[in-house]
Amino acid sequence: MTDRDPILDAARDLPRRVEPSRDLWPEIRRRMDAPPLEVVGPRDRGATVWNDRWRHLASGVALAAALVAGVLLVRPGTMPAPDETATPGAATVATLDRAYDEARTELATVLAARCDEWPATACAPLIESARNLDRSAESLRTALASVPADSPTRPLLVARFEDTVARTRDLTSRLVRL
Amino acid sequence: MTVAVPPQPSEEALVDAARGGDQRAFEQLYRDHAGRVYGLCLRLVADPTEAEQLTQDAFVQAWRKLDRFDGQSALGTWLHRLTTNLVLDWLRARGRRRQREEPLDPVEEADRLRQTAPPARVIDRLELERAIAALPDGARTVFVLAEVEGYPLKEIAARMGVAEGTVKAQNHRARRLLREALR
Repeated sequence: MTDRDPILDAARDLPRRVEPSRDLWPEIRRRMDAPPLEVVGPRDRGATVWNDRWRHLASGVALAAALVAGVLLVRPGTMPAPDETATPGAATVATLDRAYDEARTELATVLAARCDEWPATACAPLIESARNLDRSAESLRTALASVPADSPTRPLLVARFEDTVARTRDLTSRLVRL
Repeated sequence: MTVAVPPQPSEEALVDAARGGDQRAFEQLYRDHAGRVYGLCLRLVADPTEAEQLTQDAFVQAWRKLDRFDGQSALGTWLHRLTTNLVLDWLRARGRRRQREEPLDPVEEADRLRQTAPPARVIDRLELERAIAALPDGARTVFVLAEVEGYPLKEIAARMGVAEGTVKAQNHRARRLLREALR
């Protein structure tokens, strides 16, 4: 007599038919009428991702070039001394600093609650993500502190910081909804 | 007085009509086979939205290739093979994309891991479906094709373009992970 594996037995008993949650026919019929090029297969979707990646790469290169240009162009003594109070960036950075700290505190609270309920393995990617946000915020703070107030790279760094704050808030709100 | 109900056309007649461009006949074929095609897609990709998209892809491709269906096997068998090939291509493309892209979304990843965690003393269907969905792509593909769909390991290896030993190892891994998840 052989022992049967209950998992395999259960797998073989799974229903083969699973009905989709909606009627897919209207979209299929529309695509049947369309020229063959409109068939959006996985390779086409992959190509779109690939194009996106080239765009991201290009924007990254542009940002790096702007940073280098900013450092080279703004030499000490050649520019008037920056008036911190007249620089919109200074106030913005202080506001962003506070906004990030608040968002991070909120994330930590939600994360702690979730990690109490969930297994450690489920919590690990969230902790890693929060650490990545911290690293991002810290490097942006350092960069903003070293870049002259009227440097053309400053708005780009500020935009990155705003994005980091937004991603922190987004992570928190998605965790709350889970 | 009785009203005569017209007999349902046979599948062969529907295929012939669809080959001639009859979309209503093809719609009937879709209605008859959608659940089977979607079920296969869903188990293989473990994502309802992608499974719907792939089901649409499969039927659009079937419509365009219907003249290649020789009628030697049942239409369902032909559709099943067409869908399996389509999904395997998609999974390969997704594997390549994941290697190129950033790590998985942390919230989705946490949610997926959380759902694999709850222990179950009795293997019920939903627990098993959830555990299968949480398997890594390679292990899930082999397990679904071998243990749910009943494909021989040799044929799975040929379709996936990998050695039979790799398929055996993935199947073994899938069973081990399922046992752990359903403990």
